[in-house]
Amino acid sequence: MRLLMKVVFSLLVVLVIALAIAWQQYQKFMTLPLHIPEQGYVYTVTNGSNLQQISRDLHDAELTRLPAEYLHIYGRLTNKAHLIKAGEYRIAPQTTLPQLLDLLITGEVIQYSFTIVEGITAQQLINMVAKDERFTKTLTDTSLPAVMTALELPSNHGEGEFAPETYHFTSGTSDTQILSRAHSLMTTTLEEAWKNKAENLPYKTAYEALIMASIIEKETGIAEERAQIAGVFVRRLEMGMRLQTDPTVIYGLGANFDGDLRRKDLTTDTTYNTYTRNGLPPTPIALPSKESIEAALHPQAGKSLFFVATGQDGRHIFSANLADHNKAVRQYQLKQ
Amino acid sequence: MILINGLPDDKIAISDRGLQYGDGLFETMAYRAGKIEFIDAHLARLIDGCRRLNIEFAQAAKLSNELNIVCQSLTNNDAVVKVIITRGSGGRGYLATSGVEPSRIISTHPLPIYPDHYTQAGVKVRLCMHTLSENVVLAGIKHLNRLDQVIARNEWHDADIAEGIMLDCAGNVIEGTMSNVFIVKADRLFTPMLDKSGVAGVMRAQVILLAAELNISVVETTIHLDDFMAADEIFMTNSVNGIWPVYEIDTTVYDVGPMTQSLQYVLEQAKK
Repeated sequence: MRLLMKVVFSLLVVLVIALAIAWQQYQKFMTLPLHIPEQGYVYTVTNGSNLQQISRDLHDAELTRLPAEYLHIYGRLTNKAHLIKAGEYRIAPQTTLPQLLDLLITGEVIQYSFTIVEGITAQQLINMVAKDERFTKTLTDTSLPAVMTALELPSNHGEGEFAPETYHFTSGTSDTQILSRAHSLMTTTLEEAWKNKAENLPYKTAYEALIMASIIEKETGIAEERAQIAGVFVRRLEMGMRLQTDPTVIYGLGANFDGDLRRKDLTTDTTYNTYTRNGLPPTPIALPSKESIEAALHPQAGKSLFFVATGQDGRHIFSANLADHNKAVRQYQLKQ
Repeated sequence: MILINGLPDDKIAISDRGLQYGDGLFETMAYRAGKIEFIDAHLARLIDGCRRLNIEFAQAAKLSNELNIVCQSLTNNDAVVKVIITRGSGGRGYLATSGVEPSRIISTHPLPIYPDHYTQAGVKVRLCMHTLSENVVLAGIKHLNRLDQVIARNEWHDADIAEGIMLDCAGNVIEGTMSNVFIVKADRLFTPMLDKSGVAGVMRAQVILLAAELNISVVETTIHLDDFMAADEIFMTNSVNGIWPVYEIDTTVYDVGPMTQSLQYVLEQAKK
């Protein structure tokens, strides 16, 4: 009898100790923060990954000394294990394992941003995307025509057809995905703007307005000048007067442009030279901002037909007649 | 080849207002080395003139194409290309009908042959008796009413005299019969202000721009004949002949000076 008592007692002691240890481990599990550096720790849940794998990864990365199985067991017990979502997460300092599990369930993955600056060319954009290591690479040929084919837009030229904007994206986004998004945003932006255009414009298609917008984009960075410049070019189109805009000549020169536009360049014909050819160039010459598209479709009324850069904060002087324009050219441009 | 409103022809309706009233404008341009020199400046002036005269000219693109056609048909390496734009036909007397398409006349002519020394040693010119009419509205425009110039140019028949200088009624020098004038005095460049009479030539504007590139400022001002005659250098400009130094006015002689020569040099560079 005494032996039985002893055995029972011993078992009880063992049980109590075991419970105490389990309680302590549970407490640790629930409250002990992971070893996360101050700037946080980036962890990627791959597609099809499970809690068991994640637990093991955390352990291997020495984020916790607790046994790898705990998180897995906890997930099973709380019925949360199957709710985790794949993606790239930033784990904040002081995060506990249960909090981590909750984070993985929210699907709040890391958002990156990518800004397309207005006025760059489509090729410059593609080069930026190709160089950016955050994008998964699928493009083998990064020339504009090849990219348009890859985007399944083979009949389009591509220039001007990507919307300048800041795009948010998550890990795993591919080069073609980001370009597709920029392309469809431009398509809808242009469609919307075209619906609300002013009357009696000389454009036959929305694409012509896009071409005009790209010229406006390159001619001025000053918000209030855009509609004025649009006015000058629209009046010129209506009169059949050549646009005579330097950025089109520069675009036509392509890689031959060395940063210095010469008198000879203006008289040398290319398909983009609006000094030698009538009307608009065949395609846009850059990626226009929404504001430039608006300006192209809402040109300011007036009489001016000429403008020249003042060399001061990028502003221009507009003239309605040649004598005033020549004066302005003398005053501003030749001093530069 | 002559193109009238885009078609090969050499006749124009007698009802055309260009003939009836001189109601129109023209440009005389030099075609050399396969292109019309300063074509952009010429077309800009033409459009500018149409606007000032309220000629509803919206055919600049057609005109450019037609100029290309005419130039391609040329067999010579050089020529004079002349464009006339009139307000078109019709209207009741002076009253113009709106909505009438202006007439476009493009013609080519042989480039006048002048001795080489005109550009190098300079030209002999004379002072014209006939004075220019003043009209602030029409001043500067190259319109079709050129009777002052016709009268002045027919004052002399001496082939050695290349050009005549024209004054206004107040005795101020304005221009030549077919050119503009510049003078150099104490290393400064002056040209008559054309706010009351005269034609603002395309070459005049080019010379002013080229001078600015050389950091020479050009003063547009009233130049009385006495000051004009006392100049250090005198030269005359026109689109076909470029810059002609003046070496003699009646009996007063001038040197071909460094300023004139510099401008001649940069002008040749600019044409390339």
